[in-house]
Amino acid sequence: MMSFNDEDELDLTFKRYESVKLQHHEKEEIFSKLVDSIECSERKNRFFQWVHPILSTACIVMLLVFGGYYLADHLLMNGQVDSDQTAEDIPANLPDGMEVYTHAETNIFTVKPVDWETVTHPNGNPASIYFQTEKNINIGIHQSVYSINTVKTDTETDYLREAYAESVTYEEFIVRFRERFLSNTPVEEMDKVNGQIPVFLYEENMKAYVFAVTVADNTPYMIEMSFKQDAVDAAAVKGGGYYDYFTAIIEHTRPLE
Amino acid sequence: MEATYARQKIQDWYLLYSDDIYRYILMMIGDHEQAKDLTHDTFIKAYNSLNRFEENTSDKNWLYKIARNVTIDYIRKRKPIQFITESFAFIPSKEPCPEEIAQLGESEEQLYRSLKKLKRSYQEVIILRKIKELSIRETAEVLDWNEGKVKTTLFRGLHALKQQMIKEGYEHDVI
Repeated sequence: MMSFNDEDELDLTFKRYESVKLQHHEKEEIFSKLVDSIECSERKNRFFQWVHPILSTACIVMLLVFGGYYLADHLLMNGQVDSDQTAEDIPANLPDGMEVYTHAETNIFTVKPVDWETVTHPNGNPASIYFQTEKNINIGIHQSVYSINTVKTDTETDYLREAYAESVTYEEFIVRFRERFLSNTPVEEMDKVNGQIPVFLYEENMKAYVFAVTVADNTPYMIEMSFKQDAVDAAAVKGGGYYDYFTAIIEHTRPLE
Repeated sequence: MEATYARQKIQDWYLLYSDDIYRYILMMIGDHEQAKDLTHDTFIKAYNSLNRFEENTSDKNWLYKIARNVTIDYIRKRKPIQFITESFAFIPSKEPCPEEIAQLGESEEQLYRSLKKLKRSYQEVIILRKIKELSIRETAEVLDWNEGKVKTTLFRGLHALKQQMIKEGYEHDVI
């Protein structure tokens, strides 16, 4: 017997555990199992190495197929990147040669002639978009109006939104806007779209301007068309070939969401 | 890493260290058959993670580290009742001692039974320092501790071991 208070004896007892060993046949048995496991693991690795490029290629092909389908369906067929158009969004009374146009950045849903070019806020006004034709006719849709052809500054007043906010009725809104925006300019009411939305005409710097203010989903818009014309009168504007497009834009412009 | 090289390396290590690894695991779990299985698992894990082995570290200590993780995983998976039994250290041990240890002699068996009553950190540090005779630095490396913790835990573990032997009634004078 021993005393475990004796450090040396305790250490010797610990060391004697080192004589415990695996039996030779046990060592062989574990080794054989180990070799089998390694071979199995290698087979799995080889299989994976063989399958991996096939799976990768298959994934890439699937991506190309579905990606291509998506691109063709959403971009190429519609001819524009920025459109969120769906079949339900297309207005029933859209004139021939026009299409739906949406602009997410300004949150505008409208219509435009198919071949017209879109120019977004060229004067740095993020609340406006413009359409341009080859005959230098411009149509602008504005959600804020400070002063025509100038850039917004911090001190300027938004005539459009201010007039809308202060008005109870649509008629009141039109009067307020005209008084503030064109107080010293002779303006002629030349038409009424759908018998409700007045269209105004005025001349400035040898150019004719036609505009209307509308409200859709509690959002006020000022839609204007400008062009060079020698004789500025209502008949000439209506016969110029673009007026129907302009009235369609007035009818269909609304917030995108 | 080349598969042939990896396989050769593991086979070499097995020939060199399988007894050490088996003995370490046996001391930790006290079950011969299970220790054999866990020895196998240790070398397979080493084979699968050989690309993470850094040549400047000791291969033997790296294997001990893997063996320790494999053993701890096994202990964690054992039935809860065994954990409960392990926590009642004041009850004299009825746990069977592995035959391989019992054959060494009465003192070795008694010491083993008392060792198994200690908490795991004490067992680990005593096995590595006193039985496997790893240095303090090597022990710290295997256990992921700092050297100070190895010294302190070893001191406390040995004290606890002696107390446990007294409780078990194994204190005798040298004849």
